[in-house]
Amino acid sequence: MIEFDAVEKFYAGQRVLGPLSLSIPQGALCVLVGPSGCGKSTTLKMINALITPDAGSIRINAQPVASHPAEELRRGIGYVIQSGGLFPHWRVRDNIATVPRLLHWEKARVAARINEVAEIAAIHRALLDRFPHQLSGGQQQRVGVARALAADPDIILMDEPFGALDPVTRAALQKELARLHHNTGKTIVLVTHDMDEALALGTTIVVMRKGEIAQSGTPAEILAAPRSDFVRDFVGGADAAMKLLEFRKVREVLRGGAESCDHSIRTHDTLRSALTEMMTTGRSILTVQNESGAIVGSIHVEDIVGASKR
Amino acid sequence: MSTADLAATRRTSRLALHDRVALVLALVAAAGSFGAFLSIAPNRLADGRPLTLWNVGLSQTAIVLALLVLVFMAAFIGDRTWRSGALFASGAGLLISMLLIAGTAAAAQLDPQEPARRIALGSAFWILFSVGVLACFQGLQHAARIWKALLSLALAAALIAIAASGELNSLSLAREFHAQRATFPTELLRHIGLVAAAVVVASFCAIPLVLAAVYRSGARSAIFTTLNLLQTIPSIALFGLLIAPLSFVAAHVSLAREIGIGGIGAAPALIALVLYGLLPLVRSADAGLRNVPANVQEAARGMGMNAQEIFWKVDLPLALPALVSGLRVVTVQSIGLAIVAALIGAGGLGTFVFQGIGEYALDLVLVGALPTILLAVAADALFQIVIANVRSRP
Amino acid sequence: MMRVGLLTPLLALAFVALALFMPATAPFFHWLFPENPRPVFLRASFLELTLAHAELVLISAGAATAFALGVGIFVTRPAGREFLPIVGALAAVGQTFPPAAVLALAVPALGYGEAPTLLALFLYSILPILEGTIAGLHAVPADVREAADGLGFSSATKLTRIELPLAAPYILAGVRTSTIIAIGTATIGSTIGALSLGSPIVEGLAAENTAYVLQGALVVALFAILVDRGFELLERRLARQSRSELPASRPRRAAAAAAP
Ligand SMILES: Nc1ncnc2c1ncn2[C@@H]1O[C@H](COP(=O)(O)OP(=O)(O)OP(=O)(O)O)[C@@H](O)[C@H]1O
Ligand SMILES: [Mg+2]
Repeated sequence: MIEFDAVEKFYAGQRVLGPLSLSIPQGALCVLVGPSGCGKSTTLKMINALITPDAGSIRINAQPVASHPAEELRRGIGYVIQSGGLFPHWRVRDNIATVPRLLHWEKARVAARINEVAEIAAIHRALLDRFPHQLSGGQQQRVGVARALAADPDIILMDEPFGALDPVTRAALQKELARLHHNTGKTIVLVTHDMDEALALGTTIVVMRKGEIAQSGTPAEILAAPRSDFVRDFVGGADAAMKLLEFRKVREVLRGGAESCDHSIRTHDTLRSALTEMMTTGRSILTVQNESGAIVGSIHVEDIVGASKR
Repeated sequence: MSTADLAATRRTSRLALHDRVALVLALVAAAGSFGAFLSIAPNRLADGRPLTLWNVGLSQTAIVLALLVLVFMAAFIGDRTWRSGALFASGAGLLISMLLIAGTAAAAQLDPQEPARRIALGSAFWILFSVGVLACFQGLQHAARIWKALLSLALAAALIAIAASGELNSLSLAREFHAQRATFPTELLRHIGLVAAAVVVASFCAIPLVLAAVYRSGARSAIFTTLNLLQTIPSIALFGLLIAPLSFVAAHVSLAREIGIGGIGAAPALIALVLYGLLPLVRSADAGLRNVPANVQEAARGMGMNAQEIFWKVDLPLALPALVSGLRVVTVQSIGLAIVAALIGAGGLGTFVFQGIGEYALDLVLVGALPTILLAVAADALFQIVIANVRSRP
Repeated sequence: MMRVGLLTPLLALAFVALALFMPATAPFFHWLFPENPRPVFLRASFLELTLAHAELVLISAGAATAFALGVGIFVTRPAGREFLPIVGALAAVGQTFPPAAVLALAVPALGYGEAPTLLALFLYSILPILEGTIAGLHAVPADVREAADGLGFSSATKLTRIELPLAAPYILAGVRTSTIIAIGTATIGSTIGALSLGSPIVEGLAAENTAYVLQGALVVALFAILVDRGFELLERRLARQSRSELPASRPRRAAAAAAP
């Protein structure tokens, strides 16, 4: 659990952040999203004390961040920075081993851990002995992630980890990150200025604007009920309705009674796939089946349209 | 016959210029060869009578002519490997034959009636020798690294062997070297010692300055303004400015006098060389340390390295090539400046230079100047090899 | 900034005063060196020495600039590109030659006096300017060159209107280095018989007259520092200009430490 309590930050007398209060539950994948300069990185870097707040306090598992020596704190928190920030004079292997070595792990344990983490981050063995400049951008990002994971921290901070990548590589790495989060249950705080990335990854989304939280909640909550015009615009205006359908399930607008029809869909499918199915088949009503294939009701196009409006 | 074949035959059958550098070298050499190859004077002070390369002897003339024609023809060879080979071969041939011809021609000019006769190398020798060096460079340009190194080393070894064999002993330059054989090693060692001491002391003095310039932003501009000011002062003036205060110290502090500090001699020379060395050292170290990418430094902090760990494990290794290139600049620069130090009695190879200038002994000037140049070029090459190989380990 | 702003006029004042009124310092040097019968260098006035020194430097640096610019432009054109490696290597290796050694080598070639000094200064001054010209012309971004071609510049106008202005900071840096080295080497030129501000120093060293040495050293040091400050101002003005005129295309300085 990471808690921000009325945190503020000033540069040259100008408030760039806060007062900001926020709590990120254990195991969340919290995405900080907002336009450039809104204070996302500042917020993130306060968690591992790279930036100290001018007012308010930050607690990790009820322990104030300021009560630990900063280096010790940071060794326990994974950190992936934008553009990699790999040490150019060290091989991939040594980059990954940075924090374990800072923590004086035994040699054998470090070596074993390098292989383990490389596997998790899908880094091929052959890459381990290369220098960072001999890697592609996507490979460098993976090494950045592997380095953050190396000492098995409970919390991982990521500042625009997929910023400079092509859409295909980006999507692949996003998928792997989601899998990693699912498998390890670590708390991940990720910064991006890309709303689609936020929606694709986040379990919690914090939309920021000019140093303040414009809105926070689950992706569906933010899509369904943007609290201000800013949030509405940022999540994509009219397009938001389509995005929202991604987060709602067929079972939410299911009508009882078995209107039989030759095309069907399942209860746990998203409304978006139901709509797609209707468009490709030319039907306005689909039969709904449950997991085991039994027909449980039907879904009507006007209900989907209604759901997207909320 | 396909069009490609046709094109290929046309390419090979027609005479075409492929390397204009080789052509220029051949023309320069041809023009230069008409100057004095040797200059023969009855003594040190008299003017010399020129002896051109074309009057040295039939076989010598034939060899040089053949080599020049080879350089010329190399310009028209289409295949790059063959062209490079021809250029290097003719360049190496020129270098070796120049030395040998100069040696034998000088020996033939010796005259027991005229023991003070001075047989000096003339402009044609120097021009053809330079063309030889450049032809070798041009020939080796596209060669693999290992070939470059091996061939240059072999060539250097051959030239040194000729010089050491006694073939050149009749030349006045060699005689001058011979005449100075008692003092030359001492002065050479002094020169090197002065440079080494200056580089070491300057490096130690640079450390606090670099740390202040990089990590205390307030001190930066003052440090650079001061060092730049020092660097601008002409060497001989800085030596001169140090004489008065140091002789004052020597006159009033007996301890200083006992350890050899005085207005002239090694002390002002060392101090001046150190002062000159500071700017290149501080500038390159500063650039190296400040060019460590911000995101790498942030990553290091984010991983939990403390200030010392960041300095030793990240900043310093990444700045290492810059640090070494700073050392390179200072070493090469000090080798040159140490010549001037001879004017204030610090010794070194400059002693020969200024003694030669004073006595109108031009060969003596060369005895000082040529080794200094070789020393500087060698130090530079050595440092380049080191820089190419510094890659730090974690 | 403040310190530099005040320092330069003070140094200039000191330089002018010393160059014009050195004989007036006789009582001071007499007090400093009581047993010295001739405490001020009088063979030539310091104004004369300064002018002679400046003449040596101006002629050689001017000629070297013209020559180096020509060669530098030639080897960066398609017609001369073949010569670039060998010219670049010559410029780099040549600069490792000690200036004093080059000066000494000019004596066997040209004897004593102004001529060998001018030759040595000229030859040596070429190298930094040549290197600066080549580096500057290479630093012109490819897209800028392409844009100029696309806009229909001829290669001559492209050179004079686009490439040379963009390379100017590098060329100026080369001229600055050359000039400072030339001032220093001209001082040593006194040892081979050229009249310059080094003359009092060399004569003072030979005659063990420390007063002469001090006088020459002071004036020539001030001279060099002032010329360097002048270049500094020029460089700053140039930087300001090119920043305001060509915001996106200013050549970036090469980073010193390239990561492995
Ligand atoms: N060291 C600093 N000094 C002064 N102002 C700063 C500093 N660091 C950040 N700021 C300001 O604080 C604000 C927030 O910066 P921050 O880096 O957190 O933005 P961000 O949301 O991460 O933006 P981006 O998406 O562009 O990375 C910006 O207006 C920035 O200009
Ligand atoms: Mg940011």
